[in-house]
Amino acid sequence: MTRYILKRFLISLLTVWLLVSVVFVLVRLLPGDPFSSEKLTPAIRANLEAYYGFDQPLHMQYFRYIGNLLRGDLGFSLKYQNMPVSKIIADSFPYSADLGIRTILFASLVGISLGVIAGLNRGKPLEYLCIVIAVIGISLPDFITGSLLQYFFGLKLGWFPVALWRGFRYTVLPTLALSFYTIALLSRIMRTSMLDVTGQDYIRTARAKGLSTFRIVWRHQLRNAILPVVTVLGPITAAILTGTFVIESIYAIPGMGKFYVLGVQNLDYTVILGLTAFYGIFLIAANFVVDILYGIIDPRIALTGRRN
Amino acid sequence: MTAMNTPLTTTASSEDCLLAVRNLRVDFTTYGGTVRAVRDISFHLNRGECMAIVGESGCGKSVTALSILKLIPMPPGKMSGSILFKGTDLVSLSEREMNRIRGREIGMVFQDPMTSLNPTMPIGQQVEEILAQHTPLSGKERRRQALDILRLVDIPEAERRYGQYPHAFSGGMRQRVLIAMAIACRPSLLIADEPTTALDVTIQAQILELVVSLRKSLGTTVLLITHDLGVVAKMADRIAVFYAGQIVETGECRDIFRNPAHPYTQALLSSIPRIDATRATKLASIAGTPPDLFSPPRGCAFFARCTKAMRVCATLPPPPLQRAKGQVASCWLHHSLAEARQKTVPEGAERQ
Ligand SMILES: Nc1ncnc2c1ncn2[C@@H]1O[C@H](COP(=O)(O)OP(=O)(O)OP(=O)(O)O)[C@@H](O)[C@H]1O
Ligand code: SF4
Ligand SMILES: [Mg+2]
Repeated sequence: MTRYILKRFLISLLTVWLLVSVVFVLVRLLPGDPFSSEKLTPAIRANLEAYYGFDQPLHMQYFRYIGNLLRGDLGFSLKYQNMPVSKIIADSFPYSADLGIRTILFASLVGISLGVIAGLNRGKPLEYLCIVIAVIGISLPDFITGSLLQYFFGLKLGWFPVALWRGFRYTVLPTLALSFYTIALLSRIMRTSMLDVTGQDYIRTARAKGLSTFRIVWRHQLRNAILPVVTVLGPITAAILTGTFVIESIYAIPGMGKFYVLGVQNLDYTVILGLTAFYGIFLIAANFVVDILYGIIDPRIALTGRRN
Repeated sequence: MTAMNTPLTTTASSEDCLLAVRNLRVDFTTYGGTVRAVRDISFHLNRGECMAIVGESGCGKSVTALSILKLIPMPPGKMSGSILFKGTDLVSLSEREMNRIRGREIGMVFQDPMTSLNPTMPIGQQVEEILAQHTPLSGKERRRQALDILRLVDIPEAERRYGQYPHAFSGGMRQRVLIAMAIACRPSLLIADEPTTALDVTIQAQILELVVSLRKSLGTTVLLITHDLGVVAKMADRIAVFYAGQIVETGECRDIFRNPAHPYTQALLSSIPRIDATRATKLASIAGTPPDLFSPPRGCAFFARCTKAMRVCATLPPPPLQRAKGQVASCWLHHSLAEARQKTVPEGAERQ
């Protein structure tokens, strides 16, 4: 157990390091530089570059950056004056986390319920309705659902605010928009999983015991059917995370996704790298939690990373 | 046992007869056509006896057993006929009413202990929940009783094992747990569908031992499905021989072993390997394969494989014919006319 966690930890470190290194090189390959958009005299420009250390050879910059990173120092934004990247994260992450958690909870609840309903109503209209919702949800990209919801429920009907993040009413449309894909994915997985479990021998055993249908579904079917859902929670977290880039931009939510997008537009190297490292660590941690969760739900999985 | 005379559809006196299956048919509608899995079978079980159902793979044994508890998937399955259990026709009962019979009046043990337990629920809880469903016991009493039952089926260290999940148990132990669940409410009928087929030979003997001893101590009526004739000889009072969804012969175990009347039964018995039996060799020596259940033959289902077939066998289904006391076989050979002719016509002369 301890060995497993240690191994996972080392691999995670390696992953984050690789991620940061690749992004470090990639942002430098982008045409332009952080200061090209402003009209600066060559002297001031040289001054700025020297200040941020951009006059040094790339590998020196790299080592310095990694060194700072190891000390937990993400540097300063190149665009916003006197703004440490860590502060950007501290200010904006709560918004993204809020949106993300709302989405995960809402989407899991709705997605799993739809899947269960579809799975229990095999061949009936209800199942087809669930399938249709799933297909629509999977084929519509975030920016379309986001914009459509904003247009109809925000602009046309005026039921909800069009943008910003200032209270529950503001969270409804972004959460809905971001949930669509996850709902679709989860309901599809849950439906297949329910059908699969229905045909299992242990369900027949439960029926032979004379248990009520409700009890069989609740106590025997759901817990087993939910296992495949747990395995995709990792990728879903990643999908929601990338989804926040789009949704936060559409709804002008001051979350991390918005800063990331802005950072790329401005070629704000330190912001891009800092947020990338943060996203990387976050995703790895999320996956680790999912693994542990899986071990709790499925007693066959000891934390050795494989089924026995 | 009282003498059950004449055809398969005899009615036993009601206090003796626990279960009477009459003209049971089960069809499955599939994309490939309708599978006639069980084709008009009738049999009965007397209180306290052990009846064995034997027959090749696919002959409808499991479907028959599952039909008694109405556990066949419907659709695609369709049942007709009647299943009288303690005088009530189970076929006409609703799901709700069936749930009061399942587990409480009739317990069932399945073939594959590896997949028949819920992998995400501790075994103690799986035993307990059947008590929760059918008895008014309190949580504490339930636990105590579940522990007692686990001890009764010889689970060592039941207390410690109680909270463990199925994956921590061997196949034999799992089957014990399944048996524990099946007898937890002291049902009057226990159906065991090939309870030992998936287990090692040594474990098989132990499990059968357990069933025998439980039957003695609880006085449960047992319907045992198997294709191991050795098991039948050891455990059963009566036998029903299944072939292609029909019963071709029934009777007392002794009579059938000593004097099998149906050519299929004869073939089955002569195919018992003498010394050490492995599963593969058991029924292998009957040449040919059973008929297609999508379109069963018009006449005798065994016709294509029967060494004694006559012309009439191809076109007319043989009626159940009385042999010894309680022994009934569906074969034209035992028709009075055929019996008369057999004495004069050399064997096989009737075949084309
Ligand atoms: N759900 C189903 N759908 C379609 N056909 C089925 C279904 N269940 C059983 N059958 C068919 O019914 C027939 C009888 O099957 P059954 O399981 O009763 O055989 P069995 O005698 O128990 O064989 P075995 O010894 O292999 O367990 C088979 O031909 C099988 O294909
Ligand atoms: S009825 Fe005919 S074919 Fe069928 S078992 Fe008897 S002799 Fe053989
Ligand atoms: Mg079977």
